[in-house]
Amino acid sequence: MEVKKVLSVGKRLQAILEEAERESQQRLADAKRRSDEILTKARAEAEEKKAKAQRGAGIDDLIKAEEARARKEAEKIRADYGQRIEAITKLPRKKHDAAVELVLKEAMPK
Amino acid sequence: MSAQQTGLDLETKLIERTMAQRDEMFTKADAEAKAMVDSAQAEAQRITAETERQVLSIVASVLRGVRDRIVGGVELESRKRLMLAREEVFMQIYADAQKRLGEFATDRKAYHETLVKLTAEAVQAIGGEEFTISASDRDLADLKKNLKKLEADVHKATGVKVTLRLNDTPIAASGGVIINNPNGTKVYYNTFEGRLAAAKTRLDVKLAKLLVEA
Repeated sequence: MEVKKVLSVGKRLQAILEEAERESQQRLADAKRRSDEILTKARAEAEEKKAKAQRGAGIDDLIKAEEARARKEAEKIRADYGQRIEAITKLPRKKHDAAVELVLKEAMPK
Repeated sequence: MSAQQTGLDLETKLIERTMAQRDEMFTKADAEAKAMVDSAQAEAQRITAETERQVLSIVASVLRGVRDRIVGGVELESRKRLMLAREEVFMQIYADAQKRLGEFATDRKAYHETLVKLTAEAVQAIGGEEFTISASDRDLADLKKNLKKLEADVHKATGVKVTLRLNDTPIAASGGVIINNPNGTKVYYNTFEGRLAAAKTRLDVKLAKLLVEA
């Protein structure tokens, strides 16, 4: 009678352990699924962000600011070159004559 | 202790051990699950950080492209204008120098001295004693009258007793000469135009510097 009872308890306990094993496996499977979801989401977001950046989407303000800055810089460059061109084209007579003398000196036999 | 009590004790121990085993299984599974999720979250963070870095790089590249399109275009165009302006001034300088050389050629006495130098330089460069001399229409007329004097002056300048023969076909030059040996294998171009062209290749940098300092 006692042996029978112990065997019956043993079966029930074995069932508890089997259920615990199934539950553990389920918890691991859930964690794996969650991990996969986290990684998939992160990768998808990364691709989306890169694609948007490559299209220049979302950086309109930055582009406008850079354009304004570049135009300002371009104007400065244009003005600088303008000054240099003016200095060359309005070469003082003295400098022009000096240049001609330099050429003559080089061209004439010694 | 009765047999019934002994059975109960055994049963209690079995239950306790089983529950401990079950708890241990759960603890192990939870730890593994947590490590798995933590690892995924860490990897996600790494991906996000790497993406941010790449996005910044892409944005910087896009902005650089915007700047290059605007600034680069203006810079290129301005540089071209500067180059053309400089070239125009150079051309005027060389044209004035050419004019001065032409005017100089009308001063027969000074020009004769230059002609001697130009001929002597060619004679020394070619080597030998006999040469054919080509010159402009105007110079040919003078040289026909003064050829002996030129030979004597070249002799004086070089120490070589030369015989010069005039080529009757005039050359297009504002001054200077073209000298060649009798068989025409050696030719020395010593016209003003030739000397100016040669000077130009040597002088462009010096002139550019002179203009910059202007």
